[in-house]
Amino acid sequence: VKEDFVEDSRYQQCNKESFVTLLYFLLHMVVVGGIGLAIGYNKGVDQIKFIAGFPSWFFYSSIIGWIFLSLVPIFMIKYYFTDMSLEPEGDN
Amino acid sequence: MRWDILIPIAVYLLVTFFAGIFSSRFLKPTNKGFKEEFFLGGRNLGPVVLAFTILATYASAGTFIGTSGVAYEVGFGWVWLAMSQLTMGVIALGIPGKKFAIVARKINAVTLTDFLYERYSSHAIVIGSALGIVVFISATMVAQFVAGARILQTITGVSYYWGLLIFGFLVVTYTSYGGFRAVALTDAIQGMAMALGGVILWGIFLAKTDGVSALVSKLAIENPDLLTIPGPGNVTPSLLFSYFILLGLSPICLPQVVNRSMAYKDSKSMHRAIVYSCFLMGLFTLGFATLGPLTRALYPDISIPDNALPTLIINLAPGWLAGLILAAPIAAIMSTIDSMLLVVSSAVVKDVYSRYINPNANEAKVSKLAYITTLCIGTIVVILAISPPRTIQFLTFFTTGGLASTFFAPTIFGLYWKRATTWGAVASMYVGAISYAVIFKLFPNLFNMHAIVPALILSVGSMIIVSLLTPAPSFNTIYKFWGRGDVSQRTNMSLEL
Repeated sequence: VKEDFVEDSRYQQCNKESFVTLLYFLLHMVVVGGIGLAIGYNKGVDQIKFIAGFPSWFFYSSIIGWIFLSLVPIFMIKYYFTDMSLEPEGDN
Repeated sequence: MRWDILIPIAVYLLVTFFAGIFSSRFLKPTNKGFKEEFFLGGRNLGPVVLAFTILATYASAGTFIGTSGVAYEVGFGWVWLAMSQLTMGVIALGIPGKKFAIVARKINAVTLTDFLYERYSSHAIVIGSALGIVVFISATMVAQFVAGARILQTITGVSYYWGLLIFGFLVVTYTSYGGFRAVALTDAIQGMAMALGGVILWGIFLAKTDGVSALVSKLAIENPDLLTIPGPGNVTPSLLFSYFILLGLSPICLPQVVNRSMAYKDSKSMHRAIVYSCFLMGLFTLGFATLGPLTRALYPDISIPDNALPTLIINLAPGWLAGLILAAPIAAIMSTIDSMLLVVSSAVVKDVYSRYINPNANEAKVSKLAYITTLCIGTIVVILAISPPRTIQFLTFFTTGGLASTFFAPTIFGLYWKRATTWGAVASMYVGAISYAVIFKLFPNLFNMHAIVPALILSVGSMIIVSLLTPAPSFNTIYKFWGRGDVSQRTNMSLEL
């Protein structure tokens, strides 16, 4: 019976997209978490710089991070995601 | 009674209500059957509604009132921590992905439980997930109703009971009447109210105060800890990591979120929703939470932190505008409750009634039952909220983690790992749920992490180990989920046999 098993041809692309999304989640952790920790962790208030009024660690990790992470999905979709039918495939 | 604040909120509530009621009329009836229509809107969501319904369902009172309240107390570190939910919409659409949407269509799944049942053919799974949904989600709904009635009471002076009754009546009625389409459409309206509220609030804030620099300098003198990390909130790397898992990753398997991944119309809708959702979530999160620490500089003596943001709004904006802005948290609460109500109702009607009690019920009977069940569950939840539990924030966080520990491994491994077996799923579901409750209760500060992380590790571990120790899934299951061709015919056949 096993010989007639053909995997749905769209799944390879689906798996690739999920993997790219997972990388995006890691990027989110690095940008928001990593930058915040690198600039601001365990720094006293006298060591903190301020940008636009905000502590710099917060400004870069959360505000700039938000803008950056909002732009990345545009490129993710453009280069890694493909349009496809979601309906069950015919046997043709 | 503050009528000037109350009237815009009342108008807003009525607009949402009628949009929900009438949404079902404007839409063409399809031939897809009642359950798919009522619980999933006929899999027809476009990009804007999809993005808003995912984000608004997930963002609740916590995002607006709770987070800004805690940030008022412990400072920018908590806003930073809340930014772990920034990419939640992208992750929730992208990781289950189109594969989940394709599989759901192949097997005609309408709920997450349908998906799990077809994948694992186990009653223990169906009962476990129905139980998890009814218990955890109902508890969250109670907490949200309580939060909604309290906000109404604080800002307008309407008594708690009247607020609860009016609020409950409106939400429960439009959800019961209009089903998923009403929920998704009103979610879009509510999402826009949330985004708009944030923008208006910042406009007024910048116009009426001395600005961020002046307020932060004031904080640097009076409460310097609020500008530092870990700071008074003790936001350590391990706590931050566990919140990335809790708020960023685990929503991908919350039943009320993941069924949106079955409901989009086509791949283009999904792509565009992914592009919108990070930007919008940042607007919701930063827009409100960042004002928490800044409010501390302006009004240092607010005794109940949850009142920080409402106090700021009422003091800065004229009454009618304050009402418009405060519609945002009300919207967040409504959009969370309506989706949850539908998920609980689907667990009762589809997963328990149609599967076990009366599998041969006709469409008319099922539709009547769906309306009545939704109405009854809504009424019960409103009644439970009459005597509110004291620890609401605790309850909401607890239930989100509980749902994630229950559903994460069976859903994700079932979708991506052919070798995941029924016993692996049963083990991971029960180990996840039970270990989560135990760790939460007995070791709340294990490595300064939220209990979700150890519970997920145990749950994923049992999934892998038990699956490898038990025989691989049948060829039929693999064929149904991974094989080429239209298996929906085949699925129905095998059920009849």
